[in-house]
Parts: sequence; C-alpha cells; structure tokens
Amino acid sequence: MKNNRKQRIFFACIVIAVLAGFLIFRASREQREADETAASGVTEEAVASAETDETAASGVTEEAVTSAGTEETAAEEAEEAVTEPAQEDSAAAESSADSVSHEEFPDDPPDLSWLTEIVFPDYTGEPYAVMNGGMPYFDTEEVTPVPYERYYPLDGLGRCTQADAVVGPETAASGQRGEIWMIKPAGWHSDRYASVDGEALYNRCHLIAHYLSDEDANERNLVTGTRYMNTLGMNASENMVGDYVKETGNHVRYRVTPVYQGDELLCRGLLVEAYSIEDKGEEICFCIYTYNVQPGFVIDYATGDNFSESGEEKLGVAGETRPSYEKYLSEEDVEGTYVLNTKSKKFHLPECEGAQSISEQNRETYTGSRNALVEQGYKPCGSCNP
Amino acid sequence: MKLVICIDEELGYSFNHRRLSRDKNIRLHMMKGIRTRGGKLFMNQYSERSLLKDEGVLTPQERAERLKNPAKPGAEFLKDAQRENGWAFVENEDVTPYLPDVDEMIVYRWNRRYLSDLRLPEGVYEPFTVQYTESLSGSSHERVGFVRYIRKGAYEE
Repeated sequence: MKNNRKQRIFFACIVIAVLAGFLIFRASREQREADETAASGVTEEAVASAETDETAASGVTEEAVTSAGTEETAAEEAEEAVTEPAQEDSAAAESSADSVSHEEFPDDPPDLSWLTEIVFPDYTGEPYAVMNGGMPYFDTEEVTPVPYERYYPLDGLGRCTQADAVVGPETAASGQRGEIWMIKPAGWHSDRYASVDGEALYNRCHLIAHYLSDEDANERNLVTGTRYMNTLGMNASENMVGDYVKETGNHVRYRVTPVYQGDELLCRGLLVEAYSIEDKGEEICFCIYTYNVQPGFVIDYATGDNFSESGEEKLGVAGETRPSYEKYLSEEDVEGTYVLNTKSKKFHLPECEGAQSISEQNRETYTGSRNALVEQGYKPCGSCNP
Repeated sequence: MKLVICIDEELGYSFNHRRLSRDKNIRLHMMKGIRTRGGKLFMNQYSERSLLKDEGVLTPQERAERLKNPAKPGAEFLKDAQRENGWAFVENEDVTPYLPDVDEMIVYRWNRRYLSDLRLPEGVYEPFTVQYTESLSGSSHERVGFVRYIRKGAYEE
C-alpha cells in the first residue's frame, strides 16, 4: 500500500517534469519566432495593416535604415556602367519594402517656371556652387513632415524633369538596391576610361538616392551623370540628409531638378534643395547646383558623346555584352504563372509567402515565359526559387 | 587651447553655417573624455542648443550650469577658450585663425564625404603628433575615427 503510494507520487513527479519541460520548450520556441519576426523588420500586424493603411511606417526598422545607408554608400561607390546582380534580399526585407509606398507618379509635368529666372554660375573647379544663399527655392514655411516621393514624367525628349520628396525613416531603403542597368537615361553612353574613378565616365545617377527613397529602376529618377557629379555633389548631399534621418528619425524636404540647356539630352547640372522639417532647417538647409562635368573630359551635352582632353582612349563599351541577368535565365525556358513585385522587380510563385505580402499597388500577376520575365529585369525570389 | 572637432573625408566640418553631421554616441564619448581630462568646455549657442537637446549627453549639473550661463552666438567662445586654455568645441565657426594656439586636437572623423564650405587647412596635422587613435561605433554612423593630436613639444618639460 505504502509502496503503491510512493510509486504514484514518483510517476506524478515524472509527468510534472515532462509537462514542465514541454512548456519551457514551447515558450522558448515562441520567443525565438517572435525575435525572428522582429528582426525581419515586419510584424504580422504591420504586414496586415499595410494593405489598408498608408501610414504603417513601422515596417521599416531603425536597424534597416542604418544598414541600408551604409550599404548604399558602398553601392554608390561601385555604381555602375555594369552592375553585378545584387545579393538576394531576404523575403523579410522584401516584405518590409512592400509594406508602405509613398511614391507618386503625376501625369503632368512640374511647374519649372521659377527655374528659368535662375542664373547658374559656370564651373570653376568646385563640384558644386551654393545657390540662393543656401536657402531652398521652395517655401520652407509650407513643409510638413508627411512623407511622399513625387517623380514627375519625362519630357518630350525622354529627360528627367524633377523628383520632389519628403524623406524620412518611412521612405528609407529596407534592403539592398535592386538592378538599374536596364534603364538608359537620356544621353546614356557606357563609356569607360582608365583614369576615371570606377572607370565609367557616366553613372545612372539617382535624383533621390536609393537609400533615401528605396527607388531602384525608376526611369523618372535616373539621369546620365558624370562620376564626378555623382560622388562629389550627389553622394555628399545624400549622405548629409541620410545621416540626419538616421540619427534623428526626422524628415527632410528634398527636391532635385535637372538643369538643361535647350534640347540637350544631358543636364548641365542638378539643383539640389534640402530642408529639415521638424527643426525648421536648423540641421539641414542647403541649396546647391552640382555640375555634370568630369575634369579632363569634354562632353557634348546634346548627345552625351565625350572624349578625353589628354587623348586617353576609351576602354570600350561595357554592360551591353555581359548582361547581369544572365545567371537567372533557365536553360530551357518554361511557361508559368508568377506574382510580380513591380517595385522590387522580383517574381514569386503564387503560393510564396513573399508574394502574399506584396501590396496591391506593386503586385501584378504574369503568365508566360520565365526567361522573358528575367530579360525584363525581374529576379527570382530567393525563398520560393521560381 | 584644446580643440574638439568633427570632420569628413575632405577635412570639412561645416556647410552653410551648420554642422555636417552628428551622432549621439560620439557626443557622449566627447563629454566623457573632457570630464576625465578636466578643463572648461567652450562652445557657441548653436552647439550648446544641440547638446542640450541630446538626452543624457550632459549631466544634470552640466545642464543646469549651461542653462544658467548660456553660450553666446558666433565665434566669441574661441577667444574665451584661448584665454582660459580650455576646450573649444567647434562646429560652424572658422577655426583657422586659432590653430597656431592649439596644443591639443581631438578629431572625430566621419567615415564619409559631405558638402562643406569650412575645412581644416591642408597640412593642419603637420605640427602635431598622433597620441592616440581608436575606431568608435556611432549611434547612426557605423564607424567614426577618433584621433588625439598633441602639438610637437607642447607638453615637454
């Protein structure tokens, strides 16, 4: 009798220990899953609300903003007559990018009447000149910290006209920059010289940088710009704005307007205006004109043709002979149905988790040749591997 | 006098009367270093306003003291630092005329290039020797270089 009682107590202890062990295991697994979700930068709630709520900015974590800025600096340094395929973004990063969009693509051109009254100084050896006493031409009293990115239409000659934005943590890149090689901005030439930093004389120069806007292959946001202008004028401006956003979480009105002479295809320079909104310009307030020149080179702005003053030979045309999408082509083309993310330029199998979280405005269903899709610049999702 | 300054890859430190960048971790590091070394810290109103906004960078006593005796706008603080052999934290004033009187320089190097219209002159480091270097983690800058320069012969017996 006594022994039976002891046995019952013994078995009860074992059952309690097993039960406790199971509960601890389950709790630890739930915690791990929660951590992974948080690390991905997208909570389930954020994904769900992003479908209906434009202000669901929480999809982009501070960490993502920080790392994106760093990556972009390196990416910009490497930019790009030929861009190698970017690393696979994680499905989580893509979900994050999908969760909110602040892009606007107006049909009407911007009002640039104010630009005609400005006299732009000639290049005198500095990569940029201060304009308007350092004050933006837009009305700084009217700015509000509501993010948007407005990309105006190309003009009749296929030239970019203006990109205007309020950038902040919500608009910042959530992952690495996608490919942009498929965009040929007006006046584009893939000319390379050994003496130019990175060899490519021209870069596809973002009006609003990827890490401020999460923009990739947006033809309204890319101009043919010299390496010199891209690094010394544009990157310097973008670093200033990007670092401020990262440090403070505040917003900056940021507007970039190409300046053309007549019907020339290449802009003579870019007018860059920036103003930090929450602190009323205390930290960020500038207005510069950065020159689309490359010291030691003569550029025909009408066409983009160019030559070295020293007689240096071109290294040859690059980018056209080794398309970077090649590695994504399948040996035998297949027909299928895919879900496209028109913003990140990725395609998924319909059942892929990444496909489920694409916002309505960036989602498209495609049925047809897989290789044709790749040749249009789409990359297969790294998770479902379509 | 002793100089504390943050510069970019082109020796730039100001553009359009504003600092090029800022980072809370770097400011914490700066204040900790000055407290350890001792001496009075001078700056102008623009810098002080920003330091006061950064939570936790100043101690309650430092904060109270600065609110009681607020800094003035402009470059006057450089003369005060020169006169009292204190620390001058320079963000948006031309420091070049004061460089001959600088015995020690604390330089924080942003790891990138910004727009700038105030830069340290080329060859600024020539009269100095490097006493200490470190790579710091910023709050929004991945790495920030920290270099302490001492004027050659400045502290010799």
